[in-house]
Amino acid sequence: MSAGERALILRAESVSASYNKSRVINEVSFELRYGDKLALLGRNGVGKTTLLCCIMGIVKLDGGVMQFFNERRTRFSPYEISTLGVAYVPQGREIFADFTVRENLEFGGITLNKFDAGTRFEEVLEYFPALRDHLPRKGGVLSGGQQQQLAIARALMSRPRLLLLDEPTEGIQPNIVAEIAEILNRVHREMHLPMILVEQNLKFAFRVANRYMVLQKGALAASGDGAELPQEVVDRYLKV
Amino acid sequence: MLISQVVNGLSAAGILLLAALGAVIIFGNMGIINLAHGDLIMVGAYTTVFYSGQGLPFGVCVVLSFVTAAVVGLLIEVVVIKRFYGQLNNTLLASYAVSIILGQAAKLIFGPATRTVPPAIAGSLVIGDVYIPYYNILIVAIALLMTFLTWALMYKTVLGLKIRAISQNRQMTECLRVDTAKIDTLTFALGSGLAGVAGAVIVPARVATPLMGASYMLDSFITVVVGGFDSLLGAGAGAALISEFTSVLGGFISEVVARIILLLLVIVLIRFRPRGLFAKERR
Repeated sequence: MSAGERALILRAESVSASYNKSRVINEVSFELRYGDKLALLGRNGVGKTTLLCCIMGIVKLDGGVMQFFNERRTRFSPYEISTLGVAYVPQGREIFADFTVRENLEFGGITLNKFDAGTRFEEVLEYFPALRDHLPRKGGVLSGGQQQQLAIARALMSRPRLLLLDEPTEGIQPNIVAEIAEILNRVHREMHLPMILVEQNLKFAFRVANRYMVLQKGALAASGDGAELPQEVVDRYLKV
Repeated sequence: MLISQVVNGLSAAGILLLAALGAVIIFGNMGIINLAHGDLIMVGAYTTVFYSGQGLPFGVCVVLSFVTAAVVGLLIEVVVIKRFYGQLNNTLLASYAVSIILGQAAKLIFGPATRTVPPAIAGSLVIGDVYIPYYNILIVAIALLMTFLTWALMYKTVLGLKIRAISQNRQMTECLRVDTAKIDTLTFALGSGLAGVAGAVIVPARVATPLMGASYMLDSFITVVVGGFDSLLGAGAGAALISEFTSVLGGFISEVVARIILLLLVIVLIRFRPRGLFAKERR
């Protein structure tokens, strides 16, 4: 199927955002369609996380229009965006430290009815069997890798239509990184869930992604399909 | 004499606990210092004065006091407080303005004179030479009941779960499909309603005056500071400690001196345990 035939998930039109009057995202436009796993790449401080926060409504736009599915507007709140079916796995994971693992998961499905939430709970734990042993423990005492899995699992609880992930491999040991890549691919295959993935770890990014976008100084510098990055793009925008 | 002071201290602790419960909810979960908190207690007190005058039984008056104070609190949040989230100084000033407005409005409506209502149950329990008014026992019972209900709401309901999630991580909670603005309004209304119950219970034991709010506001915040910002158990323990301290010590020296010593101790406490005696350890 060509890109035009697949359902539109997200469209950003000349989206801009600023921190304290200095532009950090400059007129970025792109589309995300059903089936896409988009890697958002670039060096440190080019605005990847900010762009993800713009998509989630956490950072307010000062220009441009966002469209989620059929809703097209210049301003959305995080609550509205999450209700539209966008789930967010933030940098630093942001687990509720005082809640148990079970409560963290159930909170992810807080808008589902009791029966749905129960079914979904079991479905999600299928993907993250490691969490099952830790259900009664407080979220705050888990290791970094376990918290990352919990954050992804919590996001999946709501039966989202789009998943945003901000550096899921940051500070996590390599064998867990590989495991997370496998889980995300399985989720994409079985739940047909479109994703946007902010990553520094190129190897991980292309184990998961089937499209990429490279940011440079808050603007779109390169983009393309495929599970590999042209060497020229790597040299120009990603080599440190 | 010591025993009757301890007993008096208990009913004072009941009143203090009721006054502080709402402040714990609002301050502990939303981080808002509401200087109009005492005036919401006043609203509850006058609601009971009014409906008691209409011949309604005390139990109904307590419920109506909760509802009235909750509605007033809801309006305050929507009209004023909502606009100042994250701005501590502005919240203080704005809620102080609300406090003045409420106090003066009560003066206009009810007049400056003190008002009271007879206790719901008369008589005293006599044990040896200690007299305990039945109403004082009722105060302690209501305080414990309201604390239990608040605990149940916070730990056994979905609303409570959302409130606790917001107090841990507001932004992430909003990203998980929780309308945090709505929950803020509800939390504020709930804390205000609890202040209303405190007012209703206070009137028969003491009096209602238009400007009674200031002293109760102060006492509730001292309780919260001693007990801990986010702990219902702490609020209870704080209320008991403070009331017993002033009541028992006040029997031997003057109550004024007892209060001065208490405030000095609180200052020392803030220096060493700024989040209160029973605050949860934060990681």
